[in-house]
Amino acid sequence: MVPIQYYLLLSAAVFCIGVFGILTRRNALLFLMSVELLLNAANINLVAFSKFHGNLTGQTFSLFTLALAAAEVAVGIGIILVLYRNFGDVDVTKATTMRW
Amino acid sequence: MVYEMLAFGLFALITIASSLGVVLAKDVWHSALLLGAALLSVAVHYVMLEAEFLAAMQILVYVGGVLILITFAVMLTRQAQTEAEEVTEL
Repeated sequence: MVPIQYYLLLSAAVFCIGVFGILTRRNALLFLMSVELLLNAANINLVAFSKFHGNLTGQTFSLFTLALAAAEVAVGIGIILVLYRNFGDVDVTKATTMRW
Repeated sequence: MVYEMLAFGLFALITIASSLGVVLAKDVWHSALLLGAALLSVAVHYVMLEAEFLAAMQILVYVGGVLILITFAVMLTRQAQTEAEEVTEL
């Protein structure tokens, strides 16, 4: 049996990579993918704790996260397509019309 | 016991490497493909954590739904982008 610490380390690593992606990349699609990485890291944590506590609460929570991620991507892709139609690019730094 | 640790190490390496690839790849299309690899290896972790239903949902929802949506977005924006570049070159 793999110790829980290893799963927590893996989850922390994936989460850090996702945060790095959000902070460094300018492409709006990369934002979306990095958010997916963050949600997956949280899911690994939830499932690991669910296994090591011996109940199904964590797995139920991660199912909710799964549904939320799917809905979030559908909305996010709508926003990105509108961004592309209005600004001709998916670079988030070019959308400056709401800047005062 | 040892095999389980070996499998965990292998798939943890795959997960972290493909996550890094998602963030560091220049091409968005490569990022999308590597995201699929990362999500599939997370599903393998779920199987090792005795969450088989969640692994099946991960593959169905993420790789079957979310990744297809992202692929649509990449193709829609990319194709129009290259056309715009060709127009400006001409």
